[in-house]
Amino acid sequence: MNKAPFYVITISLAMLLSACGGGDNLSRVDAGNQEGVLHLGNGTEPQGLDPHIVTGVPEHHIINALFEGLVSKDPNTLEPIPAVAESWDISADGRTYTFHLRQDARWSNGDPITAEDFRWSWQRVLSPELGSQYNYMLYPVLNAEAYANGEIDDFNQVGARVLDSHTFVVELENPTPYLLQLLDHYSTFPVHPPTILAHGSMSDRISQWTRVNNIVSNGPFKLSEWAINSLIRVEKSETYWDTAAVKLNAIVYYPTENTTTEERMFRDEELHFTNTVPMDKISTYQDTAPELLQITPYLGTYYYLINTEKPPFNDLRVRQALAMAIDRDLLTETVMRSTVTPAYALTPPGTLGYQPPRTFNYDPEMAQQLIAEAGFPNGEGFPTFEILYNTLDEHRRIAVAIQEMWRQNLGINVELLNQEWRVYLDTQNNMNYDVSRRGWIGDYVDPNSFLDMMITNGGNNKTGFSDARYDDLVLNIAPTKLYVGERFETYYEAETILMDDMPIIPLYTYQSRHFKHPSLKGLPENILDYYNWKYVYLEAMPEYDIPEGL
Amino acid sequence: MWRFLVFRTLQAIPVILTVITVTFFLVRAAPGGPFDSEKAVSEQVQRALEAQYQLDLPAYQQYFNYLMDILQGNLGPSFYYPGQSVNELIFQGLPITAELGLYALLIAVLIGVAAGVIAALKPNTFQDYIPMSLAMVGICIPSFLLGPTLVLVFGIWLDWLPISGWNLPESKILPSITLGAMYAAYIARLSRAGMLEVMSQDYLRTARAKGLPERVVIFKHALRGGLIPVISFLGPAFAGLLGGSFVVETVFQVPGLGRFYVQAAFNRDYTMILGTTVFLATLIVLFNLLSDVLAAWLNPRLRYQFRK
Repeated sequence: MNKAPFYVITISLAMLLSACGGGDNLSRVDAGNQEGVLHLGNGTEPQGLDPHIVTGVPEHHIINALFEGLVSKDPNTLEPIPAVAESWDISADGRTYTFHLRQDARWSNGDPITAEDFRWSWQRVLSPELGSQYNYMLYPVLNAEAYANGEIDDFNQVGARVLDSHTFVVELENPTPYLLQLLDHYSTFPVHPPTILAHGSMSDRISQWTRVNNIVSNGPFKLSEWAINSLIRVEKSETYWDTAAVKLNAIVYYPTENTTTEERMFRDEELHFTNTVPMDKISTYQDTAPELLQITPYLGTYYYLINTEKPPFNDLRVRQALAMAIDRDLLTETVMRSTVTPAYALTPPGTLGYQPPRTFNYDPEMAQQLIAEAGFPNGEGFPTFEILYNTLDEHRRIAVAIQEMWRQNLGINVELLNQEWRVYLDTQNNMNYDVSRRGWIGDYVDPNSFLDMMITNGGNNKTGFSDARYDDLVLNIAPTKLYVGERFETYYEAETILMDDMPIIPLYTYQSRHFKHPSLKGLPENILDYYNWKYVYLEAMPEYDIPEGL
Repeated sequence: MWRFLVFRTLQAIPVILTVITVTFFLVRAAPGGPFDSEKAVSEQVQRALEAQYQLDLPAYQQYFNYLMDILQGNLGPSFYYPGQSVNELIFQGLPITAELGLYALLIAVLIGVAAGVIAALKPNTFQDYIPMSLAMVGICIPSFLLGPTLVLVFGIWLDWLPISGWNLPESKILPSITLGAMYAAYIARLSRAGMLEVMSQDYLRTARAKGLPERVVIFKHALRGGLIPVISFLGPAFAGLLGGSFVVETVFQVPGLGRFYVQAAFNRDYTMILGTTVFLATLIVLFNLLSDVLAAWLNPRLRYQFRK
């Protein structure tokens, strides 16, 4: 009978033997370095690859390889550089842009890219039936908003005109100095009309035109494999106008939802670059292999919303006391391990040279005085309230720290409430909260990308904040200013009004965090966490190994 | 036997209909919709999105449309992945999850039955205690701990095995072991109990009395009866593996159905949640039926009951 143990041993041995095969092979990173293939942790499976439908960052990383707009960005300076348009003229009043498309710009099936393609594509983004969530990127264009809202039906009234096959004229509602920034956003990218029409109508969301065998694109890479939840592979496109400048042969994107798994994949040299760095790994890497970390300020602000419609938060002194009782230096040093910088306003400092106002400081005594004036000396009688955040360890740690600071400095009791993402969004949208965690990432490098969300009844305001002068400054005055200095003065005034009213409590300026293999080059750090794949290259480092003990 | 089969199949219809109905209304009752995002959209966009997915219709009409579609085998378009249908997504993930589940179950049965039998042969000795304590540990260690531990040891320290993906044969080893371990532990305990019960039966005493070698007694006579609890466990276990491999799939980046299922809930991808739930419910019903049939085949007493 004693054969059962024998079977167990045989099976285990067979498993171990089959296991030993993998050892001598090249790691994925080393193989990639030889073949010019970049392996990239991309966060999640993209929702899709239709530039006019998707909304997320992982999608952005792939679409930037597959498509190209009128202009692109220099990854070092973030200045606009020519892409499909080889040059452009701007009228003296700043309201008309004339784009000259390059003759050799082609779709991946060989068709030339024409001004008509752009006009058609913009009509598609703005068509009310498509429901593009980023259609507002084109709102500076004359009558674009009216068309998108169904107020006008005739697209000829929208300021997107074809002068000839390679000249595209854009007329604006107001001079919009950041227009070229917007034209590098994927929602303004061209799509190939015949391909879309072959798989449905112009405004069908449910379409198969982005599948591997269907898609026609115009970027430096073309789609070659899409295995859902497994990988997406793009390969260098031979029809791209600047294909000689493209250094990589392929990019493989992996949906790395689990950040711990992603870190292990990086350590096992399966990835060149990760989507993020798990918080609890930062100090280990900082001590052992800081060269593998890339931590850069990011155009985003982490802040708390205050429900100003609800007592006692309708009292300005209470809001100010809450904001002043938070020691941001301590918060960023301890909880966030010095990877972020404290924020005192909504717009991140240095947004294209703009410096936001600083209207308050960490001042516990002043905070105590304010809360006493509001009728709660030493926090007595202050109702217990909740900090709402979406379920994530990082948010919890921050909330715990702030809970403690408010208890110590103001003597008030705070409870924590975490909700699953969509529930949290719902609660916030219905203003069913007291104080709620929020983050905002700028869509483009301009203060407007932050400040226009706080206008009265703005879709992303959600605090009850309303100020006529603020609305006027952001909506009417700033857009007419032709010079950057004057515009920034206007925004500065608006942001001062906002921070004096304190419907939000800024906490810190975001950072982007990545693990980066030393063989990866041409991927400079920038505030948008933006990559221009065209310039990225790999340097073979056969001798290099990721250090032990991480 | 046929009567039994027909009866059980008819029984399944109201079960699955209930699953559809409850899930349909429950996902819509959950706060937050499929198109909510951190950046608010205009009313026009919200309306357009709802219209594209027929969410602008009254709920009862959506429900009947859905029932009509499902009768034709169409689970609808995914709300979260535009351009992908739920059928496609399920049939993309299913073979992978099924393969993973099959390997895991195979490992679980081989190790579990062996350990259970060994333990049952000499109950209450070290030959019993050691495999059974291991089984207890196996039940208690969650896969989100076992998985990363195996990765650390075999993937990173020893560098024998790839730590993610499902494309290479060797990349399938660690996920299968991780998923199988817990089931191996259950099976070990089940087969020990089953064997112990059988070992004291009269027919085994008869077998021994007529001079059969112990090997034949165990493998030919005892195992057949002793494994019945394991067999009835296998059906639901396999169905459970299909839906429950989410953690293992996430840890090892396996592109299977379990990941779709859980992501769909977070994304409020109504059709995808419904599609996977209905699909898994059908599978569970089917596998329960299968394991009942298998148990009947192994157990003459049950077979006799059905015949009446």
